[in-house]
Amino acid sequence: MARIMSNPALFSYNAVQIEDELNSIVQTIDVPAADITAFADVYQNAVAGKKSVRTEIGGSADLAASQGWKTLFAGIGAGPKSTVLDPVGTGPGANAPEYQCTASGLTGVLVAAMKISLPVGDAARYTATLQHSGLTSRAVA
Amino acid sequence: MTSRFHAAGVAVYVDEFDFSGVTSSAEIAVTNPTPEVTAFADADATFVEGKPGFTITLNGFHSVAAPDYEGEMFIDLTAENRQVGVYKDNLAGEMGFEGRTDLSRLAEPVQVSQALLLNVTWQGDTPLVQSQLLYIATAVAASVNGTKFQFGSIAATETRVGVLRLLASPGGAGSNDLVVTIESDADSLAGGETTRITFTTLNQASVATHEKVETAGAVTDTWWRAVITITGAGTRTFSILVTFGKRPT
Repeated sequence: MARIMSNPALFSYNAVQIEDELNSIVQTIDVPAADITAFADVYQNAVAGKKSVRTEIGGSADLAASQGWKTLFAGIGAGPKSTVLDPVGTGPGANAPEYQCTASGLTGVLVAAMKISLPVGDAARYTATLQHSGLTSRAVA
Repeated sequence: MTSRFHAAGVAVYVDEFDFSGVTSSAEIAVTNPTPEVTAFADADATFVEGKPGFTITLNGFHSVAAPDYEGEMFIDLTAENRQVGVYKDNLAGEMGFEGRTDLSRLAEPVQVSQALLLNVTWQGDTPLVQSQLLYIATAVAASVNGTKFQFGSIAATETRVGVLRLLASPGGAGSNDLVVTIESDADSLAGGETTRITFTTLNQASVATHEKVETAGAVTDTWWRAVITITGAGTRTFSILVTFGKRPT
């Protein structure tokens, strides 16, 4: 019953830790399920395709160098970069998996979109959509 | 420790016009197409990058005088290459953005018992510039070296972008020339500066205007400042804003 808080989550992009600005990280893995249901099947039936990983991050903006916004912005058009998501904050370990997408060739993470919002009545906030290309692995050691 | 901030003091410029007093929200969105190129031999879905683009959306209030926001927006809806600047605050040293843009959408919601709004979306037509406000003064009357700020180096794949805004016709009397340059330096100490950008000379006959100057070439210096040189026998004062940034070439 080891349910845990996500408070200590860690996230790095291109070897820069940016979790000190983030308050939301959503990693979504889509696996296209192709329908192969036939007349003889009692229930719908599907087969799995190739998985695709996308990470949506959001947080408070800091426009200084080496912080999240500028680090991610520099990645636009710069090719695949490495990311590491450690949701537990103590990984990688047997009970603390890390999700790693390591840049190599076409593999790595592409910055697909960024948005900074500056409303007069709130903090400056930003979001970014990161499209993983190729393998995202689950490291436990 | 990060420098997260409230957006209460954001400064907004369109060309040489300061619309901070009539805007209440700014949103900058950068999109980068990532078409899928997954092949049979790939174990996982695979993607590549396309050409990025950006929009700047400014939500504000209908204003027809001081500043004439509505008039300026409608003056020529098809005008291209408007210089939109958004900064964390109207203070030297603050970070922000500059973009050469075209007005792509203007919405004016008119609803009973509500403020009359004017919302504008600007479509970028060059790369978004990461910029820093180097110098601002409402009445500079004598030559002065601005404070040096550590903006960072410029790579060979990047273009330097300086923007000078003269926010109003010069005050005072007589004849004066105003020359603004942007210099780089390896450190924050005096000496060793190199001029990287020079703007067109302004004088007593100048009216509110703006100029963007871009120069190429890598620069290893990381410190940058604006240098204001005023010559002549007059007593003119200039209201100016100087920013420096970089964009992908």
